[in-house]
Amino acid sequence: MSKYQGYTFYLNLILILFLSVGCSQKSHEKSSEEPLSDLKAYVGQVEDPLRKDKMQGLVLSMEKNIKLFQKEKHNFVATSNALFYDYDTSREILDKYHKDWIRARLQIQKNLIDIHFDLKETATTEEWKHIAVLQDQRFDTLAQELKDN
Amino acid sequence: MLIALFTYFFLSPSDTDLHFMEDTKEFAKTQTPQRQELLNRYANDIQANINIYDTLSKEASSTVNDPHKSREEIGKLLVTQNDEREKTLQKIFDARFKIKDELNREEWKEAFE
Repeated sequence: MSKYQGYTFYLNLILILFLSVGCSQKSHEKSSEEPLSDLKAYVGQVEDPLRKDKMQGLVLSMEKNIKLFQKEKHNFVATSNALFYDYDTSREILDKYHKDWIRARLQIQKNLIDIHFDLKETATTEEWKHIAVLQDQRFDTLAQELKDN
Repeated sequence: MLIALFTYFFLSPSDTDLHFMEDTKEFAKTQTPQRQELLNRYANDIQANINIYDTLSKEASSTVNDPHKSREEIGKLLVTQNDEREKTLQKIFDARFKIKDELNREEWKEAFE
């Protein structure tokens, strides 16, 4: 690869990253507006103020992690595809990008599992039955949205 | 159930792999028999590893969904299962890049643009 080709390759790479992140940002905004609104409403009705505060904090934290995941996922898929279909992208470049994404994804996954268990420990058995159902419904929809996008 | 959904959608391979595989097979039809066989073999590798991945995901979901398992046990299981699935994703990547290496720039454009 000549100096000029190398230069244009990296310019193209920057352009691809910029465009793919910009496009994916737009598509993920709609789905992540209120991913846990039902759950937030339910937790808002808990009578014990201490547990209510804790649970509201956990649900907010869960929502924050979901939004972060949606954003990261959309960015990853868009950028990874754009990079791969560019004939000049090497395996090394894509592998590095993939590894960065795995690291971010595993951290979010760990956060969500911790929040899930904290919520379970804070809720009463009766409350947990409702929370588990609401979570299932929402995550089912979110998973479908991720696939569709 | 919540954990099951986490494990499923966090690591699911994208539809890109399927489209790429189909486009490769379509392009292979226009090639010599030997080359067609080679490209189809790589494309079938992608399909086989997507199937393995789906099986691993289902196994992981049923394991971590056990309500009797503690947070620590589930955490450890997820690490192991994530590793297994990651290896499968790497095999999909390998096959994708073998196809890329096989095609020159013009063929790549013809097949995928």
